[in-house]
Amino acid sequence: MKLLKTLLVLALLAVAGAAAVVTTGAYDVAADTPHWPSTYRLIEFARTRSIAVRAADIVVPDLDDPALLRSGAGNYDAMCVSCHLSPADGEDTELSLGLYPRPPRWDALGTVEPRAAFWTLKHGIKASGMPVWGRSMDDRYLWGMVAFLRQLPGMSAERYRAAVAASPGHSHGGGETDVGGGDPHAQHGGAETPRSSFEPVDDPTAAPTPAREHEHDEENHH
Amino acid sequence: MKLHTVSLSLVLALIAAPAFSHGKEKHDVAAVVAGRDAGKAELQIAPAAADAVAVVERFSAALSAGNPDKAAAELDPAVLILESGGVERSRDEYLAGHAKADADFLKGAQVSLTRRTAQASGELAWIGSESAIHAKKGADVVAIDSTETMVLRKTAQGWKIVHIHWSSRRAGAGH
Ligand code: HEC
Repeated sequence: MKLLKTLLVLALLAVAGAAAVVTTGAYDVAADTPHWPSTYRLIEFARTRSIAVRAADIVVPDLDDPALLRSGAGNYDAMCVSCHLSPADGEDTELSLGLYPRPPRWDALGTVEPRAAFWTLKHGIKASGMPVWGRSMDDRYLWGMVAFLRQLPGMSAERYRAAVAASPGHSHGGGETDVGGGDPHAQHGGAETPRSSFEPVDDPTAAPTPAREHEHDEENHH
Repeated sequence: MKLHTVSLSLVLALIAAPAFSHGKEKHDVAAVVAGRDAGKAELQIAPAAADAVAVVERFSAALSAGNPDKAAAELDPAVLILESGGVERSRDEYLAGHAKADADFLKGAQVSLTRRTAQASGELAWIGSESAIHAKKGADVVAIDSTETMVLRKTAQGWKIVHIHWSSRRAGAGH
């Protein structure tokens, strides 16, 4: 009984303490004030577990498929190097230096378990610089990049440049949608089929899709 | 050291709270039954336009069946197709352009006609249609409000579609 009370008091104190830290502004959100090492390790652990659990059932395609690798090279070069750098350009950028947590370098990305890498690409990571790519790209292009990531460790600058040059499209490997693009019919070099006439042009400012009828009805009240 | 512990529990609370509050808001992919349905549509079809409406129906049904070439038989060779700022200026251009993507998309989509009005005068008929489209996209369902204007001209081979204008938006998106 006494133990219970003590526990309860401790729990209340913890909640009150947390509330105090929040309301007094004592918690420093600045990205240039690092977490305590133990906090950092805790967040890292939470992230690793969160991803591992959610990625466990993902079915991995053949990551040696040359078509996947080809599309991945161009897409990686077009979308990821500003944060993760590349064998051809290892110079730090403002983003790679300025983000906290720091984006892992390209060679480190190559060692990430493929399911976890795919999940991370598709969903992004909250409260970090890693964006959600699954909104604008089809899964197979995400897999293309996962396949390409695995080849990165030890890749020479020449091989990297050759892989990017051989990738379809001018700089992208294909698969991007025209998010915010002015011309919905614009085609990016690759031989992708166009968006059908019945799908709306993606508007990044639009509300998420309410696919249920009653929400639609609510919209129509006068 | 104490603040340290407090901060740790704060972090824990911050991590845990959203993890429990985020419901899985998946729309039911299994509920999407590919095909066309006009059962609940509000129709205003002038008798003189009935044959033209049949042509439009054949066109849409062929696209939904994944058969753009069959659909194209209903198009005038010089058909003008406008869609969200894009243009296709002939039947061949459409066949080489969006036709395949349209057929692929409609093949897996559930299209419910909600409203249609059709009029005809002499050799011209115009048909305005509103549809609700549900389509699977990966694990999600996209709901689209789609509108379509078709203009047909009566030729020696019967009614042919000379103009189409399509536009669509996500269902429930503002006005
Ligand atoms: C705006 C900067 C930015 C861009 C652009 C970016 N990332 Fe990231 N990425 C990050 C950051 C920051 C992290 C680390 C997040 C963390 O540790 O919580 C990260 C993490 C990752 C991880 C997980 C690494 C691990 O150890 O689990 C992968 C995989 C990854 N990124 C791949 C990519 C790919 C592929 C692209 C291009 C499509 C890309 N990223 C684009 C910032 C970025």
